[in-house]
Amino acid sequence: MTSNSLTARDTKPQPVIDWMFWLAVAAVAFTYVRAIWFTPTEATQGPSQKIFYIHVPSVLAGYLAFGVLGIMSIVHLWLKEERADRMAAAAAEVAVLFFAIVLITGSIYAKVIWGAWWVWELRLTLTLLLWFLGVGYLVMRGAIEDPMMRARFCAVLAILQVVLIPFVHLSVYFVRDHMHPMPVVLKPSSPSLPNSMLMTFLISVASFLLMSAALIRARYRLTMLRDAADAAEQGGMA
Amino acid sequence: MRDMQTVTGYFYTVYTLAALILGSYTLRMVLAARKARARLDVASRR
Repeated sequence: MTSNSLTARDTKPQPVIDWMFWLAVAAVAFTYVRAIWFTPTEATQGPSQKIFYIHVPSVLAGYLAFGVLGIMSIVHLWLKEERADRMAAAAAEVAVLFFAIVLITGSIYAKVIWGAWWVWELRLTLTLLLWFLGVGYLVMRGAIEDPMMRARFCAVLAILQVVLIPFVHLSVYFVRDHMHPMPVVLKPSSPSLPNSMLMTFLISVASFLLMSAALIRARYRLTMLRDAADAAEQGGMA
Repeated sequence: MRDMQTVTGYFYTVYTLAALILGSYTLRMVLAARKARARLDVASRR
């Protein structure tokens, strides 16, 4: 069996929306309820601090999708595995989606806290650059018709853009004059959030990571379904 | 710091926008899946 051959389970279209997606929806809904009504309001930032429970988990959900994109791109380049390319394409779309949420929610958060919708600060600029690279990846996928060439070129671009992620995350350590706050949870010392806020944050991170995984899975299954429809149509015409 | 009502408005706007973005992406995927499944059913019946 070659690495590209598909099993009967792979070729049979699976439902795009399944239990995992509904579990993710329930988890995000629970996060919303807990963050809005059952989490104390922070003393200095007021209710606007609750944007944090959407903004930061969206970043991590985007990182997860970019991580899947990078790993699947390496797998594709290494094994020439068609499914890895499909999974990479699904992850790229979800990564762009979550980073769009990050940029929009971050902009609103900035307006409240900094008084400006946008500041050309290192982390913001690198995040915007990463989002543009993600959009570029999707545009490139649509522009190249030959599937083998498309998969190879896109895998290389994906690996190069995933390399940017550590720079985005650690950018607050690189420059002294930055406006972005230093990490309050993901840092070498213990988190500087009170327990009730920390618990809401962790639930939010878990629910957004689950949503990211569920959307990647759904998008992958949609691609499989489309490919099955294309194959059936071509089989009918032959 | 802005007045409390404006700040609360911003926070609800963020929650609504995030839900709308995720919801519209899912809806687009569901509609695309229905279309693809219909194509598959038509092609299978031939």
